[in-house]
Amino acid sequence: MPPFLYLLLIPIPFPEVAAIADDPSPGILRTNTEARGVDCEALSAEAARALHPGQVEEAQPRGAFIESQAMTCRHRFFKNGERSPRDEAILSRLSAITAQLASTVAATAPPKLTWQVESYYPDSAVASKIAFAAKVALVSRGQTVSDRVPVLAAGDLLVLGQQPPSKAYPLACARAFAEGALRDDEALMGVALIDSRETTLHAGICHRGSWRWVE
Amino acid sequence: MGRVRVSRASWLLWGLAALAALAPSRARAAGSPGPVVDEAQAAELEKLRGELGAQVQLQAYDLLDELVFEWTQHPLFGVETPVILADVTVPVSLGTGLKALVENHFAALVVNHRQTRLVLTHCPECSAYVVRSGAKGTVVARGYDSPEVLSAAASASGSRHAIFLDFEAEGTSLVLRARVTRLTPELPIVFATSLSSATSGPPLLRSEEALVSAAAARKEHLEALENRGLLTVPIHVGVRNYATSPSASVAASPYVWLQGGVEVAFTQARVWAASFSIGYTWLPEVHDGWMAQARISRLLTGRARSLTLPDLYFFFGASVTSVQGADSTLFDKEVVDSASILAAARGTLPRATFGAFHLGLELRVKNRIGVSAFLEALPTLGDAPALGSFVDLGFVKFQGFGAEASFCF
Repeated sequence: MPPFLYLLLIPIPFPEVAAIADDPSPGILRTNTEARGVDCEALSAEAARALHPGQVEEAQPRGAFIESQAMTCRHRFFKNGERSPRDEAILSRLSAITAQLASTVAATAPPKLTWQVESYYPDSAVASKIAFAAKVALVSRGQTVSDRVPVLAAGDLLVLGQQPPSKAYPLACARAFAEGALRDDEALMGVALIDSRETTLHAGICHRGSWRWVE
Repeated sequence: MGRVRVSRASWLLWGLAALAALAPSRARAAGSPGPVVDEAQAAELEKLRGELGAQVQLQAYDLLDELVFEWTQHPLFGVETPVILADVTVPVSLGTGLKALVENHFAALVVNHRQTRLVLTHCPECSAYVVRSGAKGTVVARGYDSPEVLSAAASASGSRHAIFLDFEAEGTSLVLRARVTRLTPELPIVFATSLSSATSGPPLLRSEEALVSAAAARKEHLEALENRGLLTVPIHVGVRNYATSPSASVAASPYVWLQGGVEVAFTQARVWAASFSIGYTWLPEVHDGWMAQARISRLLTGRARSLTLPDLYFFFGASVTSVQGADSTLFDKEVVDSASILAAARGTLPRATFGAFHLGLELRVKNRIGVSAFLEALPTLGDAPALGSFVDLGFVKFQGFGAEASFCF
């Protein structure tokens, strides 16, 4: 074989080398910060071909020289720092957090209650999303849920605002029951950020004027 | 005057007060200004929000499609039921008009799919802040937080149910939560669900006129791609130029070739492809000729042809070329002498037939249009005195250089 024909061998492994550029792990071509911005999931070759047609090489009839693994990656919608760190920590795990809280509440509360859900979070937009997620999580666990919220009088709020959390939540619960905002067959699931420095949520139950933390 | 009652905001305000008491003091010096966002930064921020909104939009549409498709298969109500789209919320910190897009898409889906048995009605009071005074007090709240306001809206519109949609970005997934509330004083939630865009699946971009299942949409996509066929007919318009040695007495004219043939890909990924073509060249009063060429191409950029980006191929090929004309003496193995000049004068055009190898790179867009450049080696003409070389690697000389534009049918 003429020597120059060996040049033809050069491009054959080129796709394998080029694939390094797509490697999501940190390394020469990707920094740690960039690597943290993607979530990846390993797939079987068949699933990858079905979900991403044309992007994964078809299986060769005689097999391949190199065993390859399909990995699909997606960038996070919000890079680190684009949202408040605490909001991001809560929102990025909202489904998991509310599912856990709803499971605990549904398991510990008396049966046949109609639930009302409130959330206590510094940002009102995030608070409404927490309440929404908690309602959906309760419904998906077979609970009866209402869109109503307990209403307290302005005088109650003035008093509650001067109380520490350890007293404020039980007192608010007692007032809601006393004013008829919560009936015997109704309970309130309160989802709260107790300490502004933490990045998880807690749940409490208000039933018949009695408040207790369950998570 | 009755007591002032504040609905949803009441407990929230109380919670805020508790949190404020717990919050650690910030390390900001008294009187120091906060971060200043100038106009350029604000513009960049808005641009970034727009880009994020565009990414989220397709996935939000996909989730809405799935939600409404599910309702077409399992309607929420037994008969056509008026409903209010009470509220749509988008991921926190996105304020790019995404909400309006989502509302419009949802409305289009519901209008186009009567199988859902939903009839959308208008509800401007739902998202507005309203003040409502009654015997028990005065309520200041968003419409959808106030049972009295929703009941009034329901009475005005004839609706008895309200739909709430919420989108939130959780890491790399977009989550759609939906709930349907009956607009009675008790406001019971009659339906709630949560849908998440999987990391592993791209948006399916289903038509909003006639929704199909996710599996059917993916199948349609695959069929559309796989029906591309493995056989294409490329037409090449190219030019080949040959180097002349410094001592040559012949000026080499560029050879303009028109070639046509067939190209076969071995798989749908089009990693390897082979082609065969024949070509013709003609330059008035100078030369004409024909060529037969075979070529093998190898994809360099990735393991499969891209559906959206140009692909770079390496190719290697061989050809047989026969040309006749005044400048074909360039390929003579002997020095041009007076006899050949006299032969040309008598009308006998010199002819040259030779084989060649070529290798090069081709940039092809969506397997339709391509441009390529290549070097050509003429191993049988290594001793042609008039022929020079563009690249001489010692063991191989590339005497020719060419470029082509390709159109594939």
